[in-house]
Amino acid sequence: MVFYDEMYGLLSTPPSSTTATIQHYAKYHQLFTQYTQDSIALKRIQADNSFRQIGITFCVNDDHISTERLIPFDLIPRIIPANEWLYLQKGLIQRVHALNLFVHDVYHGQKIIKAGIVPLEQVYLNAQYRPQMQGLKLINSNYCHISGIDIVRAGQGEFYVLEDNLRVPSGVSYMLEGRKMMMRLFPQMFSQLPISPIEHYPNLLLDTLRSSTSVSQPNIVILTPGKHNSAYFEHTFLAQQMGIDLVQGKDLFVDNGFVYMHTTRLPKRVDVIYRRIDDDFLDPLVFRSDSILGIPGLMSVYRMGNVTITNAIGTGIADDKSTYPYVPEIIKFYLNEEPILNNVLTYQCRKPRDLSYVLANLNQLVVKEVHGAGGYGMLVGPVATQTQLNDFRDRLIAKPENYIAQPTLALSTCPTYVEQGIAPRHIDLRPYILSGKNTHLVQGGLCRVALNEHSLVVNSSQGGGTKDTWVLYDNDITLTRDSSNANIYC
Amino acid sequence: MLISTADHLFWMSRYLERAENTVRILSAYLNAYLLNGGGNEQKTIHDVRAVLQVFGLESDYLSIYSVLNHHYITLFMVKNVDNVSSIFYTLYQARENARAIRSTLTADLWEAINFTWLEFQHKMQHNQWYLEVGELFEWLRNRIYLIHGITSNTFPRDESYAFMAVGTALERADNIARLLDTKCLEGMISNNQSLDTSTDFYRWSAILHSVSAYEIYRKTYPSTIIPVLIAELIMIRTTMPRSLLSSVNTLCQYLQCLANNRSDATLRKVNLLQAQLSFTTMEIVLQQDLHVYLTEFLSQIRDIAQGINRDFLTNT
Repeated sequence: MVFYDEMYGLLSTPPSSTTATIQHYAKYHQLFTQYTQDSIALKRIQADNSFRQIGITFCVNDDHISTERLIPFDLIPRIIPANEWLYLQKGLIQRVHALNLFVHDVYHGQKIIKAGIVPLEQVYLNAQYRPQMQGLKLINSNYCHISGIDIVRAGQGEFYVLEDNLRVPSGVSYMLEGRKMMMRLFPQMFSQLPISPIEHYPNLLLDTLRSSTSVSQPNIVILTPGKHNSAYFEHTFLAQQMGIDLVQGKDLFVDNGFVYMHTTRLPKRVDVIYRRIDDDFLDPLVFRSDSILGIPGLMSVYRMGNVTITNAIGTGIADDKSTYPYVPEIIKFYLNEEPILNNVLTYQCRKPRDLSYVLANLNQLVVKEVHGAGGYGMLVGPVATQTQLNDFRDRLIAKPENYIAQPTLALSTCPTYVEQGIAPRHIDLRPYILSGKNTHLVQGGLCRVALNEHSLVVNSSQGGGTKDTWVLYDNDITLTRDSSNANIYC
Repeated sequence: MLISTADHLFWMSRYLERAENTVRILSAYLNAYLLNGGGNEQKTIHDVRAVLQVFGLESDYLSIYSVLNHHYITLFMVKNVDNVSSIFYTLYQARENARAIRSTLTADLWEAINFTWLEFQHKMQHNQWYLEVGELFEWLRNRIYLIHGITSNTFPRDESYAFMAVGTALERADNIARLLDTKCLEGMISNNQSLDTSTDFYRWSAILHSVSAYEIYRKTYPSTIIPVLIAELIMIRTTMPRSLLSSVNTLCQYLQCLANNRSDATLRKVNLLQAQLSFTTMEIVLQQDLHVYLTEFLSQIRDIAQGINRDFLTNT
């Protein structure tokens, strides 16, 4: 069986010390081989200690006991050449733009339903549909201010979008801290390779949040569920980087049509809430009444247009796994363009024909819960036990609309440090797309790696690690440093 | 500033200060224990009781351990997870408060606090710490010095700094007053005599060391070590940075920066306390009785702490 390796290209056998690298890895490989095994081992310890001291941890929720854990960080970067990045960047901006138009349409004219492209029930029976958003006008008609699109490479090396994350995509702090670590450990590589910088991400994010409101000097806050949340480190990190307050629901209150925060002096008005909480928990008067994380009355202020919530409420309708199969059609419908990035072939189990195919080929497929996230509740057919297969078969028959299935992709690999030395491990990539007045994107992303051999699940909650992603710039290919003029649609 | 942020800053500082005072008092105790050569069991019992009295933890201790000895007091004050003055508890609380507001702290400050907690936990996993408990105390003292140094050198002088300063000063005033208010010391201060036995000398120099006042004492007073002068130094001398008056001065200064439309009554109380301490002498204190004086001081401090909580740290 052949597989695609980021460093060596198409391979039929595992790479050895004599395997030639792809051209864009050549210089790196030459520099890397100058380090002794001992010095690399030392750098790995250094990285671990430093991550622990900085407190770059995430919490794993296991039977309601949460523990702080380090995300394993791998020292071998994923390198993307300029021409491949340019292609990805165009595709990502196109996709996010179309998805944003789709959310707007769902909550306004529903042209796409009338045109018969997305079925009515797909929208109205979807748990992510928020009737409270119907007809609500938003600034710049912008819903998805921050998007994380998961990209994988498979087969002969072609790119696919695996998943869209338009609610509260996380992980960007690991991207930034990983880069800082690499620059600390391998400064000479940065002086000798044309690696695109990504450190200005917090600036772009702050610009995006500022442009999401018409208030001229807005008070922007990050709303976190608190220190037990798995992404708490990231919430504090972003607040610190942008110099804005990190708040919890109990710090905010609604009064006379505005949102305020409790301060040690007078209450202060809040104009933009970058929330890191799901819709369901935002306002107990409108959504889940048992939520203690939210702010009672927030939705009424939002509907009056007196506060901006980023991302907007109701974006889940567009990143839901059951909506995913429609995305290519969505792009064609709103932009009248061919999709640049491919979708993975997807079986919608709510369709009887698809369901019977899925049931007949369960051991070949990956089955995912429509609303699942974090790698929980999914089945990887080829490596599943008979019990797991039977269990999923029962679940599929009981609630087919709850699942989609996809062929098991041979995800590309990248050389990675494991206990036995360096070995190929499967990876993915999550770039972060920021939409404000312009669409921005730093040239890089979070590269996640499945550390267990043969594992295809890269989520940190499932034993995944991260790598730094190096987008190489090339003077012959115009890659603008921060892509701020790459906004070809708005 | 967000009320919850102010609250975490205030408590982070209080717990750090409490951790420092615990370490200081345990170091002084350990010194006395070592000088004793382990020979005099009665004296060890006496010292262990004195430590527990400073923290007001005698009954808590006796609910777990039936005897007063060196082994148990060390375990109790270093790693007991329920003891609100143990090093474990105070460091844990300081770090958890810091973690909740790490976006407000400078990266250096957060990392120093986080590393201290992680390393302390690491040390606790092996029994080696017990054999080298003096080194553990020294390490902790240095870590806390480092944290104060980072704060003083990198922290912006804004409201958050003021809340930290207020928390530190309040906790320090409370802890130092408790240290002076142990029953066994009372009699000696009142009789205004020079020390006649070597045991007393070591006990008093241990107290001076525990508040880093030995050298200051030597510089301030030309005489030998006289208990009433020690009390004076620790209570009302401003040359002594950990004295009650120095702490109350700091409290006053920073609370004034924080004043809001609810805080008038609390500010008046702090100013009153400052005036009382500034204009008193040891004769007046002793006429009134030291224990009575310190009890009154501690109740004023408690009252001010409640005021701060009500005026600044509670949602209206």
